[in-house]
Amino acid sequence: MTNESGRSCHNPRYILLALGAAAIIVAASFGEKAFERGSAPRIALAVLESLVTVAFIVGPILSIRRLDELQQRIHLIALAIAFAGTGIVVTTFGWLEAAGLPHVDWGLATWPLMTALWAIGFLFANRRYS
Amino acid sequence: MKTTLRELRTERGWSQGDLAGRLGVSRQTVNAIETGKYDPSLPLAFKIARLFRKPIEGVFDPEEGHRR
Repeated sequence: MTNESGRSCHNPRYILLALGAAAIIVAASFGEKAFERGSAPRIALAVLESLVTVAFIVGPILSIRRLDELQQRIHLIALAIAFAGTGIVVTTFGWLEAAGLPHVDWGLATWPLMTALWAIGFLFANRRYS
Repeated sequence: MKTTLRELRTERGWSQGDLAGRLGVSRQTVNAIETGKYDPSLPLAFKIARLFRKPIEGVFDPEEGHRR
């Protein structure tokens, strides 16, 4: 999606940054296994992963400000769908886990789930205005 | 909301992309306004009216409702 200034929400620069962030997180998660749990280097690598994740999440959100009013509305609808959908899925799984289904690590699963629902919400809202 | 935007644009021989460039929005936004799928914000509606040198009600007709 590009506006008159050629600004895009799927700019190759963002894709490269996202791949770079993912590479740092994967490298840190492998690297931290060389250190004892609770040791300073392992905690430092965990903090690094967290900081990269924050940048990875906040970057695309901030880029929405550069879109025009309809494109912002489309992303607002997509985010609302992702927010509500994630709440429904996590809460439902919480009850199902309590009923005996296998445990899901939502610390790792929540963000991919929310991102997938954002993409689905984007396709839904974008189609409505196309 | 009914609009004469498409007629005004084609009278001038502009493509949707040309108009989008003049308004500072995406072509998708111009298309959605022309087809009545999206009602522009007040600032954008004024910008459109100024571009075509018409009063805002000369471009948009709020009486012709469009259910969204």
